[in-house]
Amino acid sequence: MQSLERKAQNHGNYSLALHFALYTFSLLLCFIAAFSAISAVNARDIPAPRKIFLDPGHGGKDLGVRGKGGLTEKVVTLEVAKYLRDILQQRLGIEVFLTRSGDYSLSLTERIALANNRKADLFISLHTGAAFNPRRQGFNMFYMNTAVADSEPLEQPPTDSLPSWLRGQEEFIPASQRLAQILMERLNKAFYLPTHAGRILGGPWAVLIGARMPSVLVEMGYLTNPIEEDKLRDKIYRQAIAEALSNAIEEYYRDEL
Amino acid sequence: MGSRKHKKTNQRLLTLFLIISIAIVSAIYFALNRPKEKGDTLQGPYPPTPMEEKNQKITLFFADSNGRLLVGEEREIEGHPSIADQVKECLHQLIQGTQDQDLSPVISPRTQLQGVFLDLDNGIAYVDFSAEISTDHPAGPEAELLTTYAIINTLCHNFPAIKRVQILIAGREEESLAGHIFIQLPLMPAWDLRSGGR
Repeated sequence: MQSLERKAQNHGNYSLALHFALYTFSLLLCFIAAFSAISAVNARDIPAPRKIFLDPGHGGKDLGVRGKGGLTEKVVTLEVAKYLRDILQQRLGIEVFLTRSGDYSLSLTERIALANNRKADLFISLHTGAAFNPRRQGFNMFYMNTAVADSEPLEQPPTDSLPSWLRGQEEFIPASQRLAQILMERLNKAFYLPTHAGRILGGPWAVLIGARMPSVLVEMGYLTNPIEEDKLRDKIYRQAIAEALSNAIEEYYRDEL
Repeated sequence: MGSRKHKKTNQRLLTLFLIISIAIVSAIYFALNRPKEKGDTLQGPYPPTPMEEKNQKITLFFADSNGRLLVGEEREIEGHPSIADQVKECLHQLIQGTQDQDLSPVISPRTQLQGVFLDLDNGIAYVDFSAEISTDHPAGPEAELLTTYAIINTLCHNFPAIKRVQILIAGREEESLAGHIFIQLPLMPAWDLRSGGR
């Protein structure tokens, strides 16, 4: 009798352990399923490939624009590029490369060659502005367009004379324009500027000319304007620019879906 | 017999003298009427090199008061016999700057025009500036855009035979003027940069 009771008790213990194991296993499965679902949603948000090249303009002996207060373009562009790289990597898990990570100079074609060789899917060249009018302020976006003239057609279009490797950007011009538009909107919004403030201009930009990916040159305010020079000297202001650019890149990727 | 021979010799000398005289006169005539050579100018067999010496109206492009667009400023310059000299005069005026207080110059006045090379068969003007066009430049992308197209638009507007312009710096093809605009090839004008458009 005692042995029967012991057997029954043992059976009950086994059954309890089995139920507990099944419950734990189910819970684990639920966690795995939920994690997979979240990952899948994220992957849809920012589709692969996610490889961006950021190009801090100028560097080394090439100071770029120098404000009256002594702030140089090469310093501002590198700082913003580093902030932006960190945000993109941490928040969106995007692979980010810089054309230069220190104070040295690179030719414009070298910068593009780096991005082409890594097969980046976006190229953003960061610059500050200079104007003949010291009161000029705000942001501007520039994209590649060799056919800038609206004059009578030439027998030989200007781009025909470009070597083929320099014509890489042509097929990406519509995407570059779209990216420029989104970057402009996000920066204007972040700094409470009118929606249509700033310019989006096509031109033969040397740093974009051979890029085989959507590419934009961003002008992040004017160092020739003393008020903007003071703002650009401020770490928080630079971080805010990087934040706005990151939001724009995220939006661009979502639009691609 | 001797006198006939002497007469024949005189006739030959006279003929020789006439031939030499004609040759000398012709040489002097062609030397005086030979087209002037320009050491730094290549010109195709083209259109009619204007020989007028009278004053000429030109339009120079400068940055507007906001530093956003190009505005034309009319000016009268001294006439020059060749198109290359007219181009040079036009660029000298552009370097000297605007006479309108509302406009801004786009090239440093320290810049020197080093040469003009015209290949009008292909509609291309090569203009060579000293290094100051680059070293004195404020260096932003937008400012560089205005400087580059102020030069190109000015030449293409005033000289219909010029369709494209290549900017050289200190005699060399540079990647850009201040780090942004591609100038290693001739560029067409950008009329949409003119204030009010075309």
